[in-house]
Amino acid sequence: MIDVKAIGKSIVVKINAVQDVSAERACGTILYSGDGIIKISGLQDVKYNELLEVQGGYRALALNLEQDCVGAVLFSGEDKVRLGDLVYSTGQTVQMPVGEMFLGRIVSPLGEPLDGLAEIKPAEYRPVEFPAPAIMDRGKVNKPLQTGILAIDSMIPIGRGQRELIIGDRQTGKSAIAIDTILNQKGENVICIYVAIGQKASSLAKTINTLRSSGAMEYTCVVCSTADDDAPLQYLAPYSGCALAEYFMYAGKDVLIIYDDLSKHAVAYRTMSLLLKRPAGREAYPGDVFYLHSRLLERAAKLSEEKGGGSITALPIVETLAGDISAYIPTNVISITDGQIYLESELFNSGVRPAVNVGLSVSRVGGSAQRTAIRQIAGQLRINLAQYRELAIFMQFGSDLDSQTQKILSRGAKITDTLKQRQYLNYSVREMIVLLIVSQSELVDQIPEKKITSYNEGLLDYIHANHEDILSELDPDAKITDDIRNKILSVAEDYINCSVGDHAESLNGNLEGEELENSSFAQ
Amino acid sequence: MTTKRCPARARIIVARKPDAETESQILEFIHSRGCETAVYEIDESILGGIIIHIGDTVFDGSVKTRLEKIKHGVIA
Repeated sequence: MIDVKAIGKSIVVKINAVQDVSAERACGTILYSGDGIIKISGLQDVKYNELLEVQGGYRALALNLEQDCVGAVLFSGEDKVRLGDLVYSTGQTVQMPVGEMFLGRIVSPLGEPLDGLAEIKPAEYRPVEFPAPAIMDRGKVNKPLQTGILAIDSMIPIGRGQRELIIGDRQTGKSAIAIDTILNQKGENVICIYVAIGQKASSLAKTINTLRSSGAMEYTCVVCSTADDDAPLQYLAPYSGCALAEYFMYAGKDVLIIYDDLSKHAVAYRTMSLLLKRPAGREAYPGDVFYLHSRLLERAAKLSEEKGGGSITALPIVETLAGDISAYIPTNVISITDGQIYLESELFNSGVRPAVNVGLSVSRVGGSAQRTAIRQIAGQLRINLAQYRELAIFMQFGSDLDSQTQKILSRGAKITDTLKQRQYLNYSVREMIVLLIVSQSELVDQIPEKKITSYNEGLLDYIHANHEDILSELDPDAKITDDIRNKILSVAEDYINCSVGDHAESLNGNLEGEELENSSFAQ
Repeated sequence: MTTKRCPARARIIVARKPDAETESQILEFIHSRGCETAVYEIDESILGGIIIHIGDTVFDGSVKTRLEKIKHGVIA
């Protein structure tokens, strides 16, 4: 039964709550409108970055304050505003509604829902432009953010509160790394915010479907501006996402924010700047394009314990053209962030996925936040790989190699294969420890080269099924003792012996004599 | 602080022509704001009430705006 009286009462309460002020408001009139830019006469007291309200309910952002007019960019209604329309100042900067209810939602950079679900009733508003935490408010990055990707967590570790750039050409799996990282935060008590800037609606839909189907939307909010959104909305998106992230950070939570991608953000800002007739600089970007990204990424931080200990980990993505990391935007963002994950299309095409170039990728902060056990066993990994790559260049000349060199080469190739990982297949820290220990032991000599990936997956299944106790015994925050190492290796050896049938086939097929000699099981 | 230019004329939008008493009140108000004369415009779409433009400032007391505010308050 619908209670009409109650509805009536609530409406009366709401009407009474409406403030009746025939407010005195500053207003101006539109002198020029074109390409989403409006010039307004009047509005003398307007502030920089102030939100303006255009007659008809459209919103604009005041960016150029000149002597006799104000230049502003429209968020919407580019084709609806007319010359002479009134523009009101609002006295406030652009605000993003924030709150817990944004988790699981897909919103525009102004906080409006785009997923067709219920209206969002925000608890609070935060300004989209907000000063970064001061030096004294910051704490030390000391907790890792596990991406679940072996190559990254072992060699380019990311800490909570770090800014790690993901850089590479198109189609090299940049977004895939970001999505995998979000998926891996399940149960880790990390809130994820995925900011799509100027992306194709089709790829965004795919991403959202992936997040939905793996249950990651429960702790994720997607702030999206697609390629057909006006440049000002694309420009605003990362700042809105960051405002939302800050809400959670200042509430003491850990947040992961992904900016996908900042090169499109720079392009959107370039569009606005050129239309506002600001002077163009290198690659036609305006002079403040560095500040554009530095003030955004500086807001990612780890707060000190007194401030609640929350953190924002930022994973900005930058797309390069033909691997050119010395272009304007890539160099800018590389110098702002605390390291980068460099993806190469050649590696990607030769089947190394994730296509991380370990030589050019670094993490300047995360090392101190890495789990003790991983740090202990991953330390040698980088060196081994570097040695392998150096030798691999010689191998290309096809000269005869001594058995020692061949061993290093074959082990290097196997380590590289171990680091290959299917998309959406994330390893837990304990699984990583097992894989790293096995891949650096003598045992790998017994596994044929092409079989490493399937062997690793099989080994993990085998351990989960039969030796769960080993995994629970492993303590990622303590050093690996010889006892545990030997246990893992003996299980790995058991598994090699179990799966001997598979290997025998392939050994008969395509292995050389020398490797057969080394293989203890090939009698 | 910028000194605001104060134009001599105020633009006044009403739904129908006000009576003499209201008119004198309006004049008094715009005089207090440094304006001398009032120019009236009739716009029935504002339904009722009054909108006064003095230079860059708007005093919006129209029924239409109030109804819109109520609509916003009830729906949101």
